[in-house]
Amino acid sequence: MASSVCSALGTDKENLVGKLIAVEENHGSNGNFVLNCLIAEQIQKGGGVCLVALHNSFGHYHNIGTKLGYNLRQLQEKGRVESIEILKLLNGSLNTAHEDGSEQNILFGSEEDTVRNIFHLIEEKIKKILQNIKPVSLVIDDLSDLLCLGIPLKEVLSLLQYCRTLLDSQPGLSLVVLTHVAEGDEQQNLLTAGLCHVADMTVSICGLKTGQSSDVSGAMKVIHRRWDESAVAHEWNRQNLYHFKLLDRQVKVFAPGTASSFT
Amino acid sequence: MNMAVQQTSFQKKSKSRVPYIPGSKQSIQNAQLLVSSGVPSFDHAIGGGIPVGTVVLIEEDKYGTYAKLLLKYFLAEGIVSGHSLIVASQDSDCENLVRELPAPVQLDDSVRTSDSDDKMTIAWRYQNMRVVQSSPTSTSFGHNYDLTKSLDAEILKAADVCYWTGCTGYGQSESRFTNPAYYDLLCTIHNKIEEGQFGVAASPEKRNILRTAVHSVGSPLWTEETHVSSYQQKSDLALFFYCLRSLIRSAYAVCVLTLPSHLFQETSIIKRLEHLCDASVRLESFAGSEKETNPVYKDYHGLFHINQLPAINTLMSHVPESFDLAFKLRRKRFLIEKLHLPPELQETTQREQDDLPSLASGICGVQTRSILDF
Repeated sequence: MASSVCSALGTDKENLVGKLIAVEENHGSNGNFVLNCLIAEQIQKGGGVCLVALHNSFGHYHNIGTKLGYNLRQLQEKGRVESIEILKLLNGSLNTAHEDGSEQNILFGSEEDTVRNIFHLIEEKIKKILQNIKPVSLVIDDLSDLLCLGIPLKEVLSLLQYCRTLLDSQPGLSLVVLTHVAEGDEQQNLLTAGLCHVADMTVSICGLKTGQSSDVSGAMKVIHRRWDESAVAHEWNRQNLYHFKLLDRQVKVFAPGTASSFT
Repeated sequence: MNMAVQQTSFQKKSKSRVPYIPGSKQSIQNAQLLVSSGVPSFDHAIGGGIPVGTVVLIEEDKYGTYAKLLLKYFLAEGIVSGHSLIVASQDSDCENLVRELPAPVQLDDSVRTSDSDDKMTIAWRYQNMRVVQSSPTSTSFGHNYDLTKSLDAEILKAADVCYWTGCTGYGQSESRFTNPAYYDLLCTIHNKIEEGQFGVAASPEKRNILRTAVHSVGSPLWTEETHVSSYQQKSDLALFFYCLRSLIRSAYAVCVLTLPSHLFQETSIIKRLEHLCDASVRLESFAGSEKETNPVYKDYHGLFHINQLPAINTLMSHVPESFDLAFKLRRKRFLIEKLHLPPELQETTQREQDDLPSLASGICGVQTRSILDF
């Protein structure tokens, strides 16, 4: 289940409201499991989730959710979960390419308008869930995909900034943002640096340096910053390195060198 | 009466919600719908097959021969399974590519003489050991193809194949693409999905799968205008891949692209494209490299690198048994297998000391003739 990841992150002891968690996914690894585990925890706590799915479809999260013990589609009907699927919107904008004037047309129009439309969509959905339930977690799956959509770095960073303003204006909100970064990609590196600079906690996922292994899927580095509770205050700015192994229905987290097959 | 009601309330769970489509199977591990790539050992390496709704990137070898071959196998498998195809290329003639597709190997020619193996007796202590298999043998899903024969013209005529060789005239005055070719191809795929009712939401009477093959995407021949800067070309490619991902995800479709990655000056764009695809593999052919004459690789034609495997609808992706993979091409099969070093049978310079006349058993004599004393 998801609890091993959450206890490694320290999110089980801590109130997440008003915080920003950055998930940095290095090239050659898959950081999607962190989002799934955080969603699982939020739902277990009785909160709501607003999912901005840029890299995967909503069905992907639903299918993983059924393995981790929750049903996103049912929760969506109850109004506890909302999703914004950019992949679907994009399909729609290919469809309506010949007509014009559609508001959610991502592929056309200026980049600034696209970002503004996405933000308005997020804001609207969050207000909608917050009427039903608190706390709410806004999960953005792969912010760096906006760069691939041809949106300039400046605009992407300002979208992030706008989302952070929601933390203040909408009480009960927390933010989880994943971004992919490859070595040598200047834009992605700048975006990641900008995100980690404002984050309260950074989770960095990378593959093993020496190649792949069947016992360890990758390494996870957790850096805490600006935690106010005393429970984890001594962890301030300490880097905790873990190894993890992804399994079909759970994630195992352990200290480096203590994989089950080694002991 | 009451009892009967109670009994009926226990209902058998409906067996499969996924409709059966010819040429597809469900994964044993995660119930994912898979289609074959046309190369059984390729399927085995990436976890049983290509999941429906995913994009596979093949980074080409230096001369592009083997990558093109993989694309042909992928298309031939589609025709044999009765799937619909889209073939797109700017570098070569698509219709020619389809005409040259290899024919599947009939089962009776591929029966191998296993009798001779049975006669050999194995020492009793090895009898219970697992047979080491570096490549799968069962071919119930996917076929092997004979490169010397091409598919029947009649079968080809009956197949639903759509060609794209360049702009077909979709208006794109305001879109974000600087190169109209990419947008045009996307619209072609989109229209095909709509017309053939391949979308997830559509409900045709008979479900089928759309296979899209894009040959040498991003090669110099894709750039129409010379004044377009390399930066714009790069952002076009990433945007194209992202839109393609969204199209393929929303349909019963799979897409295989080959990318001449050695022609790109910057590696960062290739990494971005790898990230936007679900699976990405790289072929490294020995042709023209010094590895061609290396005795270690003499059984193989190239190395097969796995960069990324699909993790759609699951937490974990498939973990192959080995990442040291190599491929070899035979007339009737393309084999990807674990890289084995060849047995040392001939006398070579490195093994000189073994061939020296051995002393009588029981004496651990020191070879005084050897220069190096271990």
